[in-house]
Amino acid sequence: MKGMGNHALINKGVNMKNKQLFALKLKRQLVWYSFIIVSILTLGILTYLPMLTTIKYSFHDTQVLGFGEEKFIGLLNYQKIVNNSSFLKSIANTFILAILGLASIPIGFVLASLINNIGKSKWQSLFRVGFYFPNIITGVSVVLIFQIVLKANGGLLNNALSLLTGQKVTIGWLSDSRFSHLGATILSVWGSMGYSMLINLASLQSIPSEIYEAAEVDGASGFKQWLYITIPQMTSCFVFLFITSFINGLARFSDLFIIGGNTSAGRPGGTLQTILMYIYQFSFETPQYGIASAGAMILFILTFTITMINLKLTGFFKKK
Amino acid sequence: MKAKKIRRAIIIVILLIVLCIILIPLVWSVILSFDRKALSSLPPFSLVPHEPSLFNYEVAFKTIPLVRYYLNTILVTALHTIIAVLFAMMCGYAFAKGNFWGKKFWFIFMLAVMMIPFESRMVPLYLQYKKWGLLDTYAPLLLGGFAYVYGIFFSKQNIEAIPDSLRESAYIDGASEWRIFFRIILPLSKPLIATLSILQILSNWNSYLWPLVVIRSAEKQLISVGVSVFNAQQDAIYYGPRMAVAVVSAIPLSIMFLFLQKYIVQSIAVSGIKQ
Amino acid sequence: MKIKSKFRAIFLTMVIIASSLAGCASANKEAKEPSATPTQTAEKSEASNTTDESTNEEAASQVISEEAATLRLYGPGLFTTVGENGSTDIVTGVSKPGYKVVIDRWKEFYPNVELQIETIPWDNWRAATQTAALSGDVDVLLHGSSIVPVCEPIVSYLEKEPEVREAVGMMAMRKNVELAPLSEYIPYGLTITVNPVMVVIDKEIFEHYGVELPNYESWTMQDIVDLAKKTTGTDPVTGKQTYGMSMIAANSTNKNYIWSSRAFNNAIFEWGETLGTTKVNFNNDLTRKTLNYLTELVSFASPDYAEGLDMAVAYTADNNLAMFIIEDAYSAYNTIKAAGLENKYMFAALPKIEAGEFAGITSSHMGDWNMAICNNSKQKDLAWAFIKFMVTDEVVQQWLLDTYSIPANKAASSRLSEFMPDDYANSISYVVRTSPLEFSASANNCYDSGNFGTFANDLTTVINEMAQGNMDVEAAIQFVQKNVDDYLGTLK
Repeated sequence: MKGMGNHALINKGVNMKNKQLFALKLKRQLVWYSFIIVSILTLGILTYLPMLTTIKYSFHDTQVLGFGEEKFIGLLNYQKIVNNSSFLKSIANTFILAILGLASIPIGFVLASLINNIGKSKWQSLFRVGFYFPNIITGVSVVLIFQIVLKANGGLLNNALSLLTGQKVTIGWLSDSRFSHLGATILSVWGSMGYSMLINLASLQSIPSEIYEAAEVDGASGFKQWLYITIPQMTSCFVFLFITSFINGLARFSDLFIIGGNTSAGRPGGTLQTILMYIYQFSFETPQYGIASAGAMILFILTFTITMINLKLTGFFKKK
Repeated sequence: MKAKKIRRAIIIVILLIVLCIILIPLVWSVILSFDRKALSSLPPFSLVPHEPSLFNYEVAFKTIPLVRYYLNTILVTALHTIIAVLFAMMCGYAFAKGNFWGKKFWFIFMLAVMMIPFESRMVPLYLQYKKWGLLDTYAPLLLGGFAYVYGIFFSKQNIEAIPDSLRESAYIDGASEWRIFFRIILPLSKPLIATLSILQILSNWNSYLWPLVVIRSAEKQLISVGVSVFNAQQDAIYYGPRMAVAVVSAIPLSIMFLFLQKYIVQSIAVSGIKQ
Repeated sequence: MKIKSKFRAIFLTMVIIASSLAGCASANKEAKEPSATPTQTAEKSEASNTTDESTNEEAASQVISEEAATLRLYGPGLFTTVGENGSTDIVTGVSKPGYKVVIDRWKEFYPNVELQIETIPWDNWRAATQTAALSGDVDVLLHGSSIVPVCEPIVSYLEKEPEVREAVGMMAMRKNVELAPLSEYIPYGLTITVNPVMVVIDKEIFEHYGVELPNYESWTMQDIVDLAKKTTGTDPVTGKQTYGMSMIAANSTNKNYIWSSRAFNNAIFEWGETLGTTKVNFNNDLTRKTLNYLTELVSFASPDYAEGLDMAVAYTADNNLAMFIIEDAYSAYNTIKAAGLENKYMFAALPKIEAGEFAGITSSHMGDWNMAICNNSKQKDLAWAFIKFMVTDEVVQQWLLDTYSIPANKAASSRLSEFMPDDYANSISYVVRTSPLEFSASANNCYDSGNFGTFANDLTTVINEMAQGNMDVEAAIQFVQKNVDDYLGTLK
């Protein structure tokens, strides 16, 4: 009897413990949720809720949101937009520009390698700040200046090229549709290579020096060290830069908007019209809100896919 | 030893030349802002103003209430940055160290909207704020800060790198997660705070369309819109004054960057980017 | 605990800040709430309006409305440019009086109707205006009539007060299949100021080349090409390179298509019952002629034309453009005057339209700055009273002239010669005088920027591509035709 009672007591104790454990667990859950709840609510109300409207209108025929009649037309907007050559072209433009913009990574890497080479000194901080400066100063005034730097006749870049090649170069970097992707890339690489340089530099400086010392002992040349030690050590830095630059590139809008004379037509020749500009065009300039909403939804699906790939690459799904 | 020194000198010279080339557009805009001759036509490129003068700055300050726009922008930017960085770090902490139901789901929930074009949800969002009666206040400019998605992602990466041992010893002392967050995580994350603040301030300072739409009274307007109004009041593109306005509006950013730049490097170095 | 309370304090502070900001707004709103019945107000003012425009001022001033209300205006344009208290151009030194003049004058008629003018810059104005219209607290949209879905047609007002139609030389005309056949125009707003497209001729360059100055009332499209050709090259006197013709900026070269297609009377629209059944015959020989014409004319432009940087020295003694086409005639004249070069230049109108219903009048079209009534305004009659006041009131017309604008009001714009020499004023008056009221540059039989999707942008694209030599005329026509057909296909 005594033993049984004891057993029951133990059982009771386990139950109690389980309950306590559960309460404790619940409390811990609540504590963690208290960290994120405000952001979740904000996103829900300020992003997802408006997005529901966007989803709704992507199935409707409407010009200006809130005016005129709204007719349910099913998937017609999606059908229209997928068959629209300008939309397909804008997707192509977006990806071309985003990929060309990746040039900032190797440029930033080379700069960082050189800067790292001179060792920690006043010079190093000067270069670090100097090269990053273009990243801070953006907006209309920079585009204005670049329109002059990159103009066809007597622009600074063409003058420099003429000097180098010995021939008169008259490339309309921002006015000729054959070169506009390049011209727009010069503008974006100029702005983003400082960022890329900084991240590369930080990663370079965090490679343990013992590895190099060991290689030196083995008699590996500078180039071999660079090829077999530096590059492999930098892989995750490159992946990070690749992801962030690519996402930034896909979201390009305002500088191209200004180059096109404050319109979203993507001048010259529609070559600089990105998906965002396409959506803007149909939201406001030639209002077809239904089509714009369908475009936004397609962009959302694209973004979602890219984000998932990113998470895979950055190893979020790898359980620690 | 000597060869190494020479090599270093050569690299420095090369870097200096490249730096000069890259900074030409910036230097030129600053020079133009001091040039009385830079009006509807641009004087040829030079390293000193053709006719040095403060005229452009006088014009800029006289034509629009630049100081007022300045103060408004600083107020909004500062509040928004504080909110955005604090809440991004709270989320980042939870996602980096926490263990709770639906963690993966909420993380994707947040990241999925990183690239949704603001323009496509601007009008519905505007209608919401109108319903709440918050138009022409700074609320529409600030409330979005409570969910700074890129910051959440970046914070998670950084906070993950903070060793768990610090937290564990705090646990033994009976500290709560909030206490750990404020007492241990925040003080250890100065570089992270600096980086996120810079990114936030940059994007706030330059945002144009949303303030244009939600702020209706002129005296509450921000500097980006103010600059645009200034441009609208001239009959042509006058380069000098435009550059003066651009320089004036970039000064606070540059100063801040000079102060905070070394933290950026640190934050990148401690984040999950490196091996 | 301490930390928790600290955090709570931070949070509370934020809430307080946010709510106090919110509080400001709602307090304002209550104060602005209109308490009048606007219909009465407007009826009174209507009754007071006599048909004779010249006595308008005295008659109108007799009626003073007692009703209290707030009339809200929103949009870009002249009000932004001058600001409430006026602005001074830093180069020309030209001062323009602010819109306070308008407010003060309005107060004389409607002392209890407060005008609330919210001005925005041109950057992103369409997005901002559409959004503001949606908020439901805007009555008058400045330059809003090109956003047709948010505007109220003013047909019924004009029927009641036909004298307004008589007073102006231009109105903001659009198309609406529900109100009238597509071949006809519906007035969607009143044009306040007009911007005729003018050719600026550098008389000195013409003289240097020994080329006779053209008579703009009789010159032809071919004459322009010939003159441009003759004045392109090395100036025989100064030895500097000159260029024959710089058209409207490459960024908005669709506007060059407007005047040239109009001159050739390239009517491309076969209006149906609805837009869906309308046919666009862009692929035709007159289009070929128009596009080839523009491409040829561009070949006489400065190499900086494509970037929009060719006008840098246009209004200086170093000008290298024999002819250039502008849309802002008045401020161009001011710049010329400020530079002391009034004798160097003259204005000309573009050649006559060659065929069709408008044959014989100049192909110079007019841009405008207009005002429209927002169609969800609760005070439409009061809004009408205001825009009518803007085109008929004499003090306002004087103010428009003082701001160096060309009023749409015919009586006022005929006074232009008091402000500038004949070389400039005559050609402007010629265009303003002969432009048909029932014509809209942005929606006519040759061109339409509002109803056919990306038609305007596509034109800009192909004309620039042809100018760069990246596209031939057939490819250009196919491109535009296909886009417009695709668009019309989606309407069915």
